[in-house]
Amino acid sequence: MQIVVPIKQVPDTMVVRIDPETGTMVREGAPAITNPDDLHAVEAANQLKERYGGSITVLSMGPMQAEESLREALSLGADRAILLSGREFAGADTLATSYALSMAIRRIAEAAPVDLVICGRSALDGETGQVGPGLARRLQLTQLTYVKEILDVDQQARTITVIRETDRQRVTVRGRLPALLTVDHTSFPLHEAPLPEMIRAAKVPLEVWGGADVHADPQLLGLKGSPTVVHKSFAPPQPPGAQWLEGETDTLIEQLMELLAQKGVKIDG
Amino acid sequence: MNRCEVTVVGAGPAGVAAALVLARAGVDVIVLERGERPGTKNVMGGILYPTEFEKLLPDFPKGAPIERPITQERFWLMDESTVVDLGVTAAEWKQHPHGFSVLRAKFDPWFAQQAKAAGALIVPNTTVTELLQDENGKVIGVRTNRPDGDLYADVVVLADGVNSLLAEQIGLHPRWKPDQVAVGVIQLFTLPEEEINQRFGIKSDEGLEIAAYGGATGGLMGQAFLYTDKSALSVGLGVLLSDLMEAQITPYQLLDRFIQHPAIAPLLEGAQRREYMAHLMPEGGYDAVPKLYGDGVVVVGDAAMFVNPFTRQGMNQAVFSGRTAAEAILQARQLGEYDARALSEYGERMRNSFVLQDLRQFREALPYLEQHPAFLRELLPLLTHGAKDLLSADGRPIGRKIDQLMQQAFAKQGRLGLARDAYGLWRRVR
Repeated sequence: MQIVVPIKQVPDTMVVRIDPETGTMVREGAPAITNPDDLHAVEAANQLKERYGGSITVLSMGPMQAEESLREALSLGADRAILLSGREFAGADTLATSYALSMAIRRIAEAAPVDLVICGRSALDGETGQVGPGLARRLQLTQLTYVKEILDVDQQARTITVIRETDRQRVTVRGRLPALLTVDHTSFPLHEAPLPEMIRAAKVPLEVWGGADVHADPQLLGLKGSPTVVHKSFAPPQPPGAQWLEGETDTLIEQLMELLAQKGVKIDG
Repeated sequence: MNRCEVTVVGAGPAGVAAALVLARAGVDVIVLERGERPGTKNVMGGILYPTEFEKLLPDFPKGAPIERPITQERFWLMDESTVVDLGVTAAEWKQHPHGFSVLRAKFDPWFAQQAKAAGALIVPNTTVTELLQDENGKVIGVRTNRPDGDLYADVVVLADGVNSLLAEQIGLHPRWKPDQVAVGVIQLFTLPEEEINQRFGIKSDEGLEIAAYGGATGGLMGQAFLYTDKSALSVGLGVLLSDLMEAQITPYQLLDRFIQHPAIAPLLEGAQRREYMAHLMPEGGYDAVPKLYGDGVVVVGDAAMFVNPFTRQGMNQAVFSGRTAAEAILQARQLGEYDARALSEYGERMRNSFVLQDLRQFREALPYLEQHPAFLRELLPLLTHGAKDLLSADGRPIGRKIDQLMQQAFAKQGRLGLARDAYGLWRRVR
């Protein structure tokens, strides 16, 4: 079974600040990390590889620094790492990104067919969750989002059975392969990479591909291929009127009960 | 079983230099780094001297993420209001810069990349917790915090930085004492490149460093500094830990005072504070240098106390020691022996190098200054104050001013006291 996992290196939003005037992210000085959902996608792929065999290719688009994220993915079980890098990819929105990644996956599939693409649900920096579904559409893959568990892959019947979980429902779904799954950081808990895997990850040669390598139409890549226009962005305002209580837990509880009573909130028990 | 020929602990300049030389010679070398990438844990306050980097990379600094060449060095003696400024600049520095400002978070990964390109493996996010030894005490590998985390090697290069617990574990040095380490703090302020050029009277391919003494560190043993990056200013100071403890002051408080000094504040006006970093610096001097080698192990860089606060060099010496250790390992490899005797060449070459000779030069200077606090707390303030006093046209005859200054100078220690102390220091440096 051949699995491809597209991953992204993102600024650590726990550290990143939002410029209150422009509403944009101050990326400068923010450490780069691998998008958390994506690592769980690698983990999902790794678990499948352990169950059914096969190989995992991790794929990223970004500057050369993204090599770090690809090597992290290698240490978690991926076998091959490909980086789409070059000026032609810069400034891509989700449309151009899914185009570039889909062309890369097509090229990967030339050697051996791709059975599964597993994506992180969304990226910390953009939070759109559009690239996975975009890839499914472009590559004509069965789309299974919000996957919590993978119950079974039947390679003979070419089907996959998963549990999907959204805010309102938990559903068991069987779909046809090839498929695209999206997962988030609440499932497929990460294992700690053992040292031999870390060493292997450092050894695997990184393959760097440009737009021409994946036979992409330059007009559809990067900024040129990105119709998205950001009309306005803003930092969410602090909710007004919040009252902070500080101190020992016991006194805090008393204070809180008193405040609630003052506001006429009835508490049973 | 995980095995390689040489394991390097730490991907700072010393470890990377060693890995680069070894990898080029075809040695199977693995560098273990505890940070997410090289440089994330590293702090430097000042100038990167290119000499040793050029020996490894003839095209240096081509391709390296340097900020600016340093074309002007200024030495400031300060009190609360006054600055006595000695500047050094040289036409040669324009042709061939004697130093650069760099941001370690960018520079160190680049340097590590050069070792990687030569074939060294760099494994991040992996902390070495202890050294593995055989029954005779020979170092035979390292234990890391990862599952299946033992890595065996012919030689382990300890480049784990100041406070090398690993060298301590195998008894190469006792635990550092507070008067052997300094605390360095540094803040990065961003400011547009053009504004920096205008403010400091420099061009984009020029840079300047100010090293400030006396009141700049509140009279404590150490120095403050400010230098120009491309579109940022690095401002910080380093002070002996024991002095901070005695004065009961935090490094932030000292740095805040420096930043608010009337000579510094205008240089930072409107700049955005972006980063704050702190680190220990090994400043124990010659007598704190550990045993540099043992059976199956060598110690390089900060871990070996190769920092000289007087010549203000650290990275240069780190790279030199890493390269020298690697060359000694290559010799030992030809013999097929990695015991202390085979690795002793490293110690020998370090002893004969500028690194240990410079440290020996100042061997007694730091303790002498510590025992004679009058230098920093009385003589330096008197110099700054005296300079201001003599230059002021305030109606007092100059002769009387000189008399008054002399009286102040001698009041505390007697006529001979200061002269004796000054001579004493001179003798200890010569």
